[in-house]
Amino acid sequence: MALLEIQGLKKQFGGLVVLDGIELEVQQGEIQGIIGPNGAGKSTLFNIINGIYSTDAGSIRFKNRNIANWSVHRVARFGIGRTFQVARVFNEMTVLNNMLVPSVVMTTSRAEAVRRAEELLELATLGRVRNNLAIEISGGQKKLLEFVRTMMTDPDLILLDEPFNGINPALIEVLIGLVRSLNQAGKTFLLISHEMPHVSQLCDRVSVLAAGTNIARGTPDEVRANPAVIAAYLGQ
Amino acid sequence: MDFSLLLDPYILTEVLVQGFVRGAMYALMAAGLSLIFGIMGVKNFGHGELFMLGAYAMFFVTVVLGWPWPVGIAVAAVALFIFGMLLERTLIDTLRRKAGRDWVLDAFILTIGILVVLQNLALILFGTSRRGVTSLIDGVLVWGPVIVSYERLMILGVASLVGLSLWAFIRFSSLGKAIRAASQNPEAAQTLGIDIRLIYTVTFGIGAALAGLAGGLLISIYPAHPTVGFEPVIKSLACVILGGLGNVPGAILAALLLGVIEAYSAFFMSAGWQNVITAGLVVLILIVRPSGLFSSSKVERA
Amino acid sequence: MTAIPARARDANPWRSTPVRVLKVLFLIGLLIFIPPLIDNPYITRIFISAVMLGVMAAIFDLMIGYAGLINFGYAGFLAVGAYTSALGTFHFQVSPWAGLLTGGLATALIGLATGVISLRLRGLYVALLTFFVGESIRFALSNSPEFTRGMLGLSVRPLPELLGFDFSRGNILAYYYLLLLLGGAIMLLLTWLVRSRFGLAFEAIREDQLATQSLGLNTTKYKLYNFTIASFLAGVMGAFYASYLGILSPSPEEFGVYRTVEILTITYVGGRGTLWGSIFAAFLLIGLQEYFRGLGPWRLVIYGSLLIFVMLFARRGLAGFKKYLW
Ligand SMILES: Nc1ncnc2c1ncn2[C@@H]1O[C@H](COP(=O)(O)OP(=O)(O)O)[C@@H](O)[C@H]1O
Ligand SMILES: [Mg+2]
Repeated sequence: MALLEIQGLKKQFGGLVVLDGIELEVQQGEIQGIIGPNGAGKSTLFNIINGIYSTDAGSIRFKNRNIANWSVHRVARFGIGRTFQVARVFNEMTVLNNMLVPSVVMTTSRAEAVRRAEELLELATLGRVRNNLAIEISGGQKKLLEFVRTMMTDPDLILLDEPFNGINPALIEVLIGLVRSLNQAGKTFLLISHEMPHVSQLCDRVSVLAAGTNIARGTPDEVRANPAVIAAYLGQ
Repeated sequence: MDFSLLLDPYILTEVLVQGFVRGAMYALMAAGLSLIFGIMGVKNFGHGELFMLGAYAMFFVTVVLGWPWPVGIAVAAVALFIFGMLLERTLIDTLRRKAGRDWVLDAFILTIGILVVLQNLALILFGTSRRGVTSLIDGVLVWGPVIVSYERLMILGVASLVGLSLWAFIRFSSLGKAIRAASQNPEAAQTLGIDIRLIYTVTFGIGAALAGLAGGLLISIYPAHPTVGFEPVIKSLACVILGGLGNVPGAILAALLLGVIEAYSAFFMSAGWQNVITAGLVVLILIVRPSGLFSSSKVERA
Repeated sequence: MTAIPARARDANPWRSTPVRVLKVLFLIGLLIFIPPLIDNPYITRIFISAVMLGVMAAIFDLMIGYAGLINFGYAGFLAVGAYTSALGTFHFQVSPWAGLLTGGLATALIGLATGVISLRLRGLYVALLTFFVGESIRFALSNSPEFTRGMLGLSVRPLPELLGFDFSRGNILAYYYLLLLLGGAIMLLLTWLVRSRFGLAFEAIREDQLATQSLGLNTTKYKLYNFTIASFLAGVMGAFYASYLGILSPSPEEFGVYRTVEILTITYVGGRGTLWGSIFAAFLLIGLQEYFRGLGPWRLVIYGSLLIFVMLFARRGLAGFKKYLW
């Protein structure tokens, strides 16, 4: 049984059909990539899983429940964490307090939450800036912060929207290392990216979206050789 | 209360004309507020003070200098246009560059500061006495059951003319097109070479000019005094909400509607309860239909 | 942007913990002893105004500074507290002491209701909605003279004697100390609140609602908590105000937009999201006002200019100068 299983997902904005019958299946413990040209509907897919947008049709089964149209916070509590294409950190709060926000609704003690937050910040090489305001750190650091912040909710599945975009190579290494080790600890990832080298490095399987439909899925090497995928990217 | 009175043609026209005159004022104010909101996202709480300055300008030109009223109205509009652009460039623009993401709420607070300063400066300079004129034009038009003063006809005429010119300007002039482009998509407009800062400044100037014009035009009904802008700004805010924030035609329609409703309800109740009804109506609209009465689109919600 | 290690900031002995405690005690000492020592009702009234408006501004700060919720009908909420207490005494012989509580509860109810209807709106829409709610309240009060005496003014009985303390109107020192107790309790409650988990939730909501929700927080719930708690406290302060003032009328200066603007200015000058900044700002602004009383409307010009200045050039308010002063 897949951890996440999406069937026949449709979404339109006004007259614009953005997702037209998406199918997706994510197995427990895998790192799956989503690629596709700009405007394919990748971020919209995340926003629907996450509960920001309602669906027009289709089902989203996660841990055997249909979570389609649940509210955002309920989806998060049920075990799906996410990052945004443009990192959404709490600018006027310290890095450490950014990390502690999820603990508001968790049963862990404050001391325990602080310990976990500092541990994650160290792993993300953000320990040094933990008392800085989030607005003061670099764009790449914000992306990392957003990522480790979502880990504070202890999610089963993490959705990463273009995590490598606009972050320097050193931090990319940190990020890749983090994803790997969290994956080994049992976390499942679904990540959107254009950076094929990183996708190949991390992902077991890749799904390709174009114009709101699935056009291919398979290992990174398979999809890269797929003529339909090449056509979709060239046609862009 | 004898309801049949309302069907009496004399009373009916009287009420309608009175309603439209009020409505015209609300419309001029609301059109400017709504324009500024639609394009800049800023709610100008100091809009009533611009109305007040227009009224003083009118008084100065027509009474102190003794020049004819059309000059007064023109001066009120032009002076406020310039003043509005100055306000925007010196204060609001500075804020926009400093405050970043959440600047519109801060801009609202800033306009409150502007309100307090302008209102009290007026108090210092001009005192509390009311400075107005009994009428700009004498005489009444009698036409069958219809009796209307020329003054009111003039107000309605000028307001309609201004409304039409505004519409034509936004619709057909190149600056108007740039303004529309900027309101729909600021980033895209910028890449097309449209100077957003200039657009904002001009937009604020136009809004201010409309307020100044309204202040000048209505001087016989609302004589200039430091707090004269309070009622117009509250009522026009209400119209902007009823019409849908940023929807200029909607605001104008709501303004006329509110003017007539108020004129009618003046028969039934005190001005005080009218205010309760207006405020209550606004709250209701914000709850059930935040996009306004006339809009089909949805407002951004949390 | 290099990181400053947390400890380095505290190296200055002027900011070490014991010195801080002393500084706070000193200020509290000033608050307690200056009015009786000077023993001039005029000065005591200034202190009462400053503390009262400062606490009201701190409550306002809980909404705007911590959760980003603007209650632009705030004065109307104060009116609910004031009138509930006063009308309870006037019509139903409820003790004014109980009025502090009923005023708070009634206002909390209005706050909850306003919160519920404004929840799905944000930013300016909340400002507009609350503004018109506040105005509706004020208009309704002024249009029901048979019950509230409207603009004629409703006279409020002084607080009855309690534990041997005399609260007749002549004895304003009693009111002052009551205010210090009440305001102090409210300030401590607010401080505790913003340092608790609630505070984190509020700040996160202020910064980014969607991100907050994505971390599992029900933002609706926390916004309602914030709004309702703030309204309750505002109602209590309103009820105190009624008893202290002795006569209520729903004028715009007293319970309308001018009062809201006054309080909002104090909050912004003090620095949003600082709570205690409001108290300092209240003393500064009320002090300025009294000092310049001879200047008439100029003092309001100064007030407005200060608000503009803070918005443009000192966006953290007095709190931005804390490092030089504290
Ligand atoms: N809230 C929205 N309203 C209208 N159109 C939207 C909205 N969100 C996304 N879209 C449209 O949906 C399409 C897919 O967007 P998105 O999911 O962001 O693409 P991707 O992430 O694959 O680049 C785009 O054409 C975009 O303009
Ligand atoms: Mg995207």
